[in-house]
Amino acid sequence: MRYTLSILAIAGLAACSPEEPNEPALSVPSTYEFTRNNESTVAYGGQIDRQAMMAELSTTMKGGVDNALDYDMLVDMYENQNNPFADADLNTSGKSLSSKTSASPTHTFDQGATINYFKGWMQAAVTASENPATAADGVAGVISNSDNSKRYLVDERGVEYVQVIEKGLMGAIFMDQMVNNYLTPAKLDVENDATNADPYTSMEHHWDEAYGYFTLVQDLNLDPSVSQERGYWGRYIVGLENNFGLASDMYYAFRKGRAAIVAKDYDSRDEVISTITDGMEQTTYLKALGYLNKGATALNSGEAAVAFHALSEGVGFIYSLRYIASEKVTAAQSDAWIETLIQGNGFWSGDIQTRIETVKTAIGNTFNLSEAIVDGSH
Amino acid sequence: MARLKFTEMRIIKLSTLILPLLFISCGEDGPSTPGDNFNRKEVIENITDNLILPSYSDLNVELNEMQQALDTYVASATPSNKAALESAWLDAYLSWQDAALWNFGPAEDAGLLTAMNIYPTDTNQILANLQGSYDLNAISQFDAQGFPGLEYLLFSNAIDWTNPAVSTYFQDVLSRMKAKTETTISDWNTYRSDFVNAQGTDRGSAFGILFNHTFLPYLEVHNREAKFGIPGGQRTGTPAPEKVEGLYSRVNSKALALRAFEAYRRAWTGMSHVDHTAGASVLDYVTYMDQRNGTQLSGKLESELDDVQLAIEGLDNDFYSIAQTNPQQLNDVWAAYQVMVFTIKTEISSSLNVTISYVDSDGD
Repeated sequence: MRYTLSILAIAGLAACSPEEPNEPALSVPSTYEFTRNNESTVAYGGQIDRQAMMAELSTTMKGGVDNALDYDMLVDMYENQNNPFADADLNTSGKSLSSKTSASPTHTFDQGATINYFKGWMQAAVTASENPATAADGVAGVISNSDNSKRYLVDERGVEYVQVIEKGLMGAIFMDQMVNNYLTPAKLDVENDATNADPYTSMEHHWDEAYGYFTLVQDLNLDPSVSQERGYWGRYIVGLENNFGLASDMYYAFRKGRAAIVAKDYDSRDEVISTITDGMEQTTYLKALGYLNKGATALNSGEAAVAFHALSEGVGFIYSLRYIASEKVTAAQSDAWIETLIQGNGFWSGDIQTRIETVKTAIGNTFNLSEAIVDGSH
Repeated sequence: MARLKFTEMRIIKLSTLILPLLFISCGEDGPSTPGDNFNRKEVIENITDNLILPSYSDLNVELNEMQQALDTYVASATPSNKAALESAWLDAYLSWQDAALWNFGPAEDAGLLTAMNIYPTDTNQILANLQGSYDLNAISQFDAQGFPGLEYLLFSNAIDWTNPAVSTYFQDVLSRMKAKTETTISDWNTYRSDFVNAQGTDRGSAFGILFNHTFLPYLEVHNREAKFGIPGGQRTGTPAPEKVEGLYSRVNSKALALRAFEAYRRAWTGMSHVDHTAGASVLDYVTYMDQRNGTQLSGKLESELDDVQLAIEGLDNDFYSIAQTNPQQLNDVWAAYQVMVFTIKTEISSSLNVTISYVDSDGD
């Protein structure tokens, strides 16, 4: 069965990549570049802005290990009020993170509660940062590894606030907007007339807005070892490329779908949507499982800081599972898995390994995954 | 987690996308099989059967002897029985240094390290535990147990063995050490065939596992840093004598470090844990590739292993005193390790085409 492993390992090598099938009528470009009359028709500035806002919010929150955080400032960054951003263009962008949190037609019924959920984590982080203790069982504060090279602000259960917020908002904003808003008929069965006032049609633009949450760059490099500003999801998806080939499949699907829109070939457009939504779903559960496994391994090495950081990222991705398009994971189920991990003394508990296994198994059963995938030994 | 569950490998959904195409376009020999005729499996079998498994068996024997010594001392608290328990503790601690380097697969899954050797030990936690309840499986208790925790119970003046809570705590710590060791040994019964059959040199191969656990991270974290760099203050500029291994017995730091180094060296030379006879080794493979590539990495590594050994042998027994009076001596050993780490990480892993993947690239 080493054979199977090597098959997976070489999936990312060019010589062995799946051939991109060519539809005779559809010319799919090698990068996400589309022009009309020598002018680019690709635009996703709002997506770039919101990911830049998230980056500033995350960076500010990570500073909580050294300085007291200001709750009003964090909320201003979340809502884009009172010019909170260092990048002044963001302040005047007219965009905000909060207005797009849980805002798709599928999830908007829960928008207010979701915004309050993330504000609750922000408030808790602020409180912990005001009198920073050394984190301990039942004590919120800063947890460090032995050489102090990694320091994280965690709650009394070991949960790192900023990771839940960042990975959770990746689902609640970026994925939700992509798969439950822009790639749905409400946004795609719209005007596709190249003679309108904009360089792009409404349909093209909506597709591009989905793409902007997949990655920030039009020339996506699929080699994870090559540095590139790929954006929040793009970075993770390309990171999984060598083992799962998701990035190449999804990148191709976005390019093909966009070319189909230009060609008004709507059957071809609709065919590739499931590749994208399935890819997002797989990325989300693979990262959830991957971080749970990483955390479990670090726990077994006694590395609390590394373990809690990884487990907190896992919690964030588990939160995001409620936003996958297939709706295989309800909000209640996602909440229950998180509660299993963080209830009581949370990551400090002696039975945390058992609880990690319980959640991993439940995720594996939900998505019908092999033991190798669940255990990360793929 | 890190287990090799090959037979369970069935990639639902993904396989339908990827595998059929690859069966056509790619042969059975992926990049995991470098094109040479060296018998790597023989090396892995030698390491498994003559180094890894005997080291765990010995550890188990030594822990049971410590159990007997504890029982004897609890039954009759004489000075000579206390000395016998201290001696059994040291013998077991030394045997742990032979087993500590196999920190992957069953040992990693069992969390063996967390029961054995997290130090410096948290004496406040131990004192609190002696007066209340505790769950030794909780991560906050990992530095209140193992050989360092037992050392504190045996050698600190703050511990009163007439308090029955002390022997109870000693027993609870020892029980967890024994249980984790037994689990590790038992899991190797099934893991062995996966491990020796994990051929090639990529991430999931036995060679890949050895490099990404034993040969590099273990060497760097648990030898170079924990035993030398941290107490010497190599990275902080501030020596930390209280962080030496063997703090409370004072005279054993060197013996423990030397034992760990010699076990590490045997992992390269394939020398049997039991009778120290030579066997098929990773170093043989380095030599084999040297002959193909016109390099001399085998001799270079042996010379650097000698340098580290000489540096450790030149130290006094009590690292606590060294860290207080002349920490540069510890940092000199750190430097000798560092030279060797560089050779292994860059030149040897490249020569053998082993994928080094343990570096944490998380970045956030």
